[in-house]
Amino acid sequence: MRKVLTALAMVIIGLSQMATAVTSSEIMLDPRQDQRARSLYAEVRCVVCQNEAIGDSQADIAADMRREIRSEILSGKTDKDIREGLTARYGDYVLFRPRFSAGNLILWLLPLALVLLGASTLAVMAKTKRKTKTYDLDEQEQKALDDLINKP
Amino acid sequence: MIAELGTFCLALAFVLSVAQALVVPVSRLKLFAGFARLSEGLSLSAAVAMALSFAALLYAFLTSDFSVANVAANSHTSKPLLYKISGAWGSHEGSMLLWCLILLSFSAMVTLLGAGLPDSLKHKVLAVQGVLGAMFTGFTLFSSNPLARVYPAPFEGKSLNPMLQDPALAFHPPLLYLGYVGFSVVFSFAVAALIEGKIDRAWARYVRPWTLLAWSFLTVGITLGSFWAYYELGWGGWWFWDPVENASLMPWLAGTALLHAAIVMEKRDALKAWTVFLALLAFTFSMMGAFLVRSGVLTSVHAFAVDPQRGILLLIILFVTSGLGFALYALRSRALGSSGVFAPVSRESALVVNNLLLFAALSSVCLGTLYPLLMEATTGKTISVGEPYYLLTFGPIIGAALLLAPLAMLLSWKRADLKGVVQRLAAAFGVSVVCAVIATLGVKGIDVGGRIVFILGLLLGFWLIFGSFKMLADRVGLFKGTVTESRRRFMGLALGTHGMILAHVGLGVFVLGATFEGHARLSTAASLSAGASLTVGGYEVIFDGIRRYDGPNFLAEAADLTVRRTGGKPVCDAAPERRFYPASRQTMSEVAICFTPLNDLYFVLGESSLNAAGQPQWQVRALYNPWVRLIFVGPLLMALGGILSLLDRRLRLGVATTSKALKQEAS
Repeated sequence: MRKVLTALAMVIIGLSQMATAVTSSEIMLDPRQDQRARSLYAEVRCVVCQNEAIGDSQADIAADMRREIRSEILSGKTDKDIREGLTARYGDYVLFRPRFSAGNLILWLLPLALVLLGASTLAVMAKTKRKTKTYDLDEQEQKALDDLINKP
Repeated sequence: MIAELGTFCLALAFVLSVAQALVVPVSRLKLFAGFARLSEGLSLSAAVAMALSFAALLYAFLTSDFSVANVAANSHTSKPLLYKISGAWGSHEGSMLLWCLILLSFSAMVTLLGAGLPDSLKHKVLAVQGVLGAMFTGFTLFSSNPLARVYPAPFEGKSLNPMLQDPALAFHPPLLYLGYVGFSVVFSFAVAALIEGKIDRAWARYVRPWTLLAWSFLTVGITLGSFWAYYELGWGGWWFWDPVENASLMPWLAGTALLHAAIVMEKRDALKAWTVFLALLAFTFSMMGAFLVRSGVLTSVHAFAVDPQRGILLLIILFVTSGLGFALYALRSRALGSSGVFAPVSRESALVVNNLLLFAALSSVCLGTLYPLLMEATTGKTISVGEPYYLLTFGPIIGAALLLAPLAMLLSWKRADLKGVVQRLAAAFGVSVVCAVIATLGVKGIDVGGRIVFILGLLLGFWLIFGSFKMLADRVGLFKGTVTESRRRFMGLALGTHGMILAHVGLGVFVLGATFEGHARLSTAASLSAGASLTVGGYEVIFDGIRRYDGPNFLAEAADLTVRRTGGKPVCDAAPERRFYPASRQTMSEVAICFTPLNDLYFVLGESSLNAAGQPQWQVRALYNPWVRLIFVGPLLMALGGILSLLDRRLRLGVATTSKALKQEAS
């Protein structure tokens, strides 16, 4: 019984298997090109996976997409061309780095805008505060104040 | 019978929570004067009822009572004991029950440890806790009761998702929830203060230990989750900027900002409105995390235990609680006022900048997580936001905060001498630069831009560590007096100071690990038949063969790998596995890791196939993860720092404090 189960399991394992991520046979000969390919692998989403880049994914389609990217690099296309080709086919969804477009302005600029806005507010506050001079009470003044406050 | 008793206890906890919420406002009527005090007893009894209810669920899991629907769906007789227990919170329903247990326990802790709190504040806090408790127990009771029966009872359970059958993940949800829900107390304190319309430095002192507690738990919880993802998912990474991971990072960032803001408020009586805002925000993000994870609005690797209908209920709870909290804030925050005046160069100013940067970083994570959802909901367009986005937005902002941290630690309160501090830190900075450059020398194959980011990242890590040590050295007068004198001073330092230094060293350690692993990781994959080998990062991995065996509730195929230095000594044996779980008909990859003190060699077993000669061969993926240990050790040090601070006499939970006492302490 155990053996039958094991055999069955192995068949199922075999069927459910997919290729592993970037294999040694996928390394490009030119190290420059290989570097470009790798950074693209990290940026392109495996369209059937859950939140995985094609460089990490073991799905067949990820391997296909990697192969495609390699052949496009070899044919002399720039990274920009390749990205545009991918979005034309799969939509914006395929890129983990959203495009810097009008629709995505808030996404890209809000964090930086918050920093700038906050910094300028702080700068203005510091300036206005410096105009109204303040100083800490000296010992005598503090004591007089405490006496006033604590008077029964 | 036990399950029915459990449901009854849950209902009881719900009713008691409602009562706890009601007695406080009702006590304003003459007829019910003095009723507010009842909230204390009610919080205790609600917690006991809740504990009994949870015990009933544990009992059902331990005895594999498959007439309980949740047990049938998530347990199995062949499952090891630990996973029978952790199965209790492995599902949506069970984890909500755990959430409620922790929430009501925190309310009880406010009662038990709050002897030093002014009565009116304490009762208002308990009333808000009661509202939260009633909502979450009500939600669990009416829409997700884990103790509901199923008829007919199945003969065998469906078992827990094998991915969740892991020691790290058994403890990940309780710790994470202790963090999430811990912020509920802070939220309640904020709402109570807004209702009172009065807030002082003592309030900051009350809130700080609760924040520290929640923050420490959350830190450990996130770390465990990340470690689990590292060795269980088999991708070799430890953080994927997955929405569910971000959902836990957001309350953590808000909590971190709150910790720092509360210090300013306590010391300088300033930043009141901002601190209250962050207190509301931290729990809002905690609830949002629960909503995002539990509603199924996200496609993510964590997409288990999802149900959109319940999601809507959770969303309503989120909107009602935070909505009311922030509405109250809008009405009352002006009245809180701030009396403190800052000098531009001072510790408090530096902490304000820290808060600004943390908040901007938080906004980046929040946008990246929610923007795709909003885009899809409004325009129907789907976009992806992943690591490249966060590295470009979150990265520089948090980098600036890290750069500032050692300066802030050495600046003194009120009026500081920036030039002096810079001079004192110059040596630490120089050493950091040298260390960072040396550390990157051995790493090849990175382009110029990548190398600059690499060096900058390491620089920040070393800078945090050496800057923290510089602060410690200054405090104990190292090299200034005798060793025994320094030792005496070291022992005499407040635990809060030790905690602060340790936490910042931990942060530096984490930054080192994350940067180094991110830039110097190597990976390779190949199809190997018995006797073949591959190389990765100066190691040779020899594939000895495949071994099959039967586990307690799975069937396994294991690859025996011998790892040795190329042309040198054997390092370790590794056996990555593929496991088939018949109960749930799922196949899982079990990673094998060769742990060295600092680096990991990480192996994943893939598919089998036949090679050209007709011999069977297996895909083996090998990763070399340098300095990866630091990624997990760093946050643990941070949490330890939090706990150390918590043990500080002045910061213990529920220590009696008044504004006056604070002032005396300061002087």
